[in-house]
Amino acid sequence: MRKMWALTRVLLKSGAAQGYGMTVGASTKKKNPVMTAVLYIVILVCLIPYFTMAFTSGLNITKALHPLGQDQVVLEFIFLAGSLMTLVFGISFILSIFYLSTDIQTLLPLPLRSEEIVLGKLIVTWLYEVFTSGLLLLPILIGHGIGARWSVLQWLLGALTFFFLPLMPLAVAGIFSMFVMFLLRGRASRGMVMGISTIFLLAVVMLFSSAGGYMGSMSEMTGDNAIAEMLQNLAGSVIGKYGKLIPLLGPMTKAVSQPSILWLLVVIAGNLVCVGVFCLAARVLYLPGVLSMKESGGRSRAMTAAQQEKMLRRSSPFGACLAKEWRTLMRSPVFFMNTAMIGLIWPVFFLLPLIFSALTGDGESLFSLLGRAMYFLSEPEAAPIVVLIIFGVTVFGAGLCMVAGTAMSREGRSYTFMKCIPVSYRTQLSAKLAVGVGISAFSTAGYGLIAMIYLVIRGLSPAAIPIALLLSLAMNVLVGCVNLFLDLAFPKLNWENEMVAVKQHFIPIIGMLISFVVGGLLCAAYGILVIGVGMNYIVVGLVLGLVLAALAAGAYFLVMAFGQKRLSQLED
Amino acid sequence: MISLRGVSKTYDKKGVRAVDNLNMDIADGKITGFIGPNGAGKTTTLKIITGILEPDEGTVTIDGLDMRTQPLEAKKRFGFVADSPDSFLRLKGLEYLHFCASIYGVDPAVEKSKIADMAQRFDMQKALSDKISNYSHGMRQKIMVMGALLHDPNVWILDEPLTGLDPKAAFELKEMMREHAAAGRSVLFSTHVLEVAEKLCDQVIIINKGRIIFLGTLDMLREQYPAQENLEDIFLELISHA
Ligand SMILES: Nc1ncnc2c1ncn2[C@@H]1O[C@H](COP(=O)(O)OP(=O)(O)OP(=O)(O)O)[C@@H](O)[C@H]1O
Ligand SMILES: [Mg+2]
Repeated sequence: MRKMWALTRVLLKSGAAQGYGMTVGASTKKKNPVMTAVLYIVILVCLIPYFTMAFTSGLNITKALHPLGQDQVVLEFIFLAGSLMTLVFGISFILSIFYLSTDIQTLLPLPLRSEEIVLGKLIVTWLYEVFTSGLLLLPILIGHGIGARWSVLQWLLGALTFFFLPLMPLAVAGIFSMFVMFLLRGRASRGMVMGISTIFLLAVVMLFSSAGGYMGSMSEMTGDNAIAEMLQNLAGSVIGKYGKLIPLLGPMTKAVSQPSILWLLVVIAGNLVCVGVFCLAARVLYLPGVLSMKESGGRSRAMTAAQQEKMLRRSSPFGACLAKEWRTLMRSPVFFMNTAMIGLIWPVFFLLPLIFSALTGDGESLFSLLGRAMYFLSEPEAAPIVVLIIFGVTVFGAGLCMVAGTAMSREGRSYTFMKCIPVSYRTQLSAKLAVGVGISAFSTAGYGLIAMIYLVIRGLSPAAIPIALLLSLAMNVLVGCVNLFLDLAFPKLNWENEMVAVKQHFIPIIGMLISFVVGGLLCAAYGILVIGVGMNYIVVGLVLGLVLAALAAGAYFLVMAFGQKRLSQLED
Repeated sequence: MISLRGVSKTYDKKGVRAVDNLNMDIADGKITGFIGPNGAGKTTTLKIITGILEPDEGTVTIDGLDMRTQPLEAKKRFGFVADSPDSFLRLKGLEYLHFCASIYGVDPAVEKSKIADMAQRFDMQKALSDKISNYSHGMRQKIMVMGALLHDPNVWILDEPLTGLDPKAAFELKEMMREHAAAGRSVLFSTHVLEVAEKLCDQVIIINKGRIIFLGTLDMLREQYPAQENLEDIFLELISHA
């Protein structure tokens, strides 16, 4: 036990804290305190709208339900959401922390028992989950507590229950992951494990989007009692259905709402039992799984002359950097899935609801809706709207594309190589930017172009194409430059595990917010001038496009100048 | 030819100097060994020479080209093998070599023959089509050495290159270093293994706590310390006084 606590402390202090995204931004020794402070303030400011929204909805829903004596539904919802989220996220987390992170190589040879290693890691993950689910759910909980006029004891019990909330789902996720890895022993490679963990992440996305659809259909109910009715419904169906999955849901709710210390003890005991089972499972399952992991599949064989010839075609330094950048991005499942994939496959997500609704029967209306939309958009008068839609999609897609925003961090410690080769920083950065902007442009302007060509064939005015493309491409370049700038300013270079560079990196999210704000303002300007005031969309689009292009050019020169200076000063 | 003039470097601004006022000239046609205890500043010095770190003070020139004012020209003159070869794991060996050839502007015909030649010497022909992530430590080391030599650099800089190499590969690498020096170019490498330094080097630089405490041939070193029997004793004696 003593060893395990020592390990936990070390994990918390060193790599683990960094690995779980507890530290922000630069890994350089000389952190600029002003910039770090600004960064935290920006993050906080960005979160304030969410905090207020979550807080007020917790407060208002509780007040609405209080007369009905139903307000513990809110508590149930918070505990259920926290548990499910931790459970599904937990699997992908645990897989990467238990099986992929490189500190395992250091830990395995130490005289530690396997359950000590994984328990140490579990505790660190638990604390991290308390932090993240706290960000999401605490505002609702606080709103609820105020709405329900909690006593001091209830606040205390609420805090304690919330603290224990993620432990059991994580332990279950851990048992599940260890079991899967045990079954896959001898066959699992690192790439495969990353694939599995990403599938679970996608499952979360699907879960949320279907939940969104459910809420949407609920909100169509109108009338005075709509909210109460909806919540009753929620309580009846969702909590009734999924609540059984979480055996401690009842005890947790009772501990806080009654309030009852006894139920809290039940909660704690339940968690401890779970952790006990986890440790027993770890003793049997962990080592066989982790020891038999392979680096990656494939075997070596000599290349044919033709293959060699093809590979060795002459290329310029820029081309070589571009190819290297592209390959390292595309061949790493972690990098690809977390930065580029969403941009490339978003139309699939768009089509999925259509397919689902077609399968479940009420697809008729959705399809005819789409048909009517297409019909309307191919009218000559619809050109201004089409341009607006393409630009809106660009703002969204370019913001979501994290390729440029992680270009520097993806280098990791090998960034030193960038400094000792005879290729100018400008060329190297341009290659990074080109890959990032290329992918985001393909996922926005590219798909937009395909859609517009279809619409032009059906009668849309062809003038919409150049205007939409100008706006879209300029926006992509601008967002790419902003993202690259931010990543240069706060790179995350000191990582062992590729996840750290892309997933536990706050900076691209700031770039995304900037792009949403700038893009949103431009959308609004366009909407007001063209649709509100009635100006010609070609003129407005052209002017806005040129302004954007000028901004993009400015951003390009700025990021290149900054990048050259930054790279020459960057030290590890 | 590498020249350092008054080079100093501090990692965190208030801390001690990792290297302190280094002055050295590494002439062509020689193999120079860079030795010193752990944390003496070897890696730091090599990183400064190769442009990975900027010195706080002082200048570095490679073949007369200043690293600060003509970085790209200067960087073309050297090939660098870093101490940890875990880079570019996603690339195949041949892709990595081609990347190096392209950024140094190596002629395709030369590139092909050099790759074939070095792959044969290092017994790497089969591995070239495989991803570097599947390589062993020694194989990674070998591919980095190959990448650094493709463009026929005048100056060859290696940070602890022999760790992890099998006897044949170590022999080949030492042979290559000798050939490089015999062709009138310079080799600078850091090592902890005194026997290697003794057998291979024309001159040694001994560094301790960021300062050069000896620079010259091994014979000069032995003359200075006649009481000591072998290089190891001399080294321990030198370090203990510093
Ligand atoms: N990134 C860094 N940040 C802060 N200090 C550093 C860093 N890298 C090295 N140092 C310090 O600089 C000094 C010299 O380190 P350096 O790596 O150059 O030693 P070395 O001679 O290469 O040692 P070794 O034989 O162990 O490789 C040491 O005191 C070390 O603590
Ligand atoms: Mg070193």
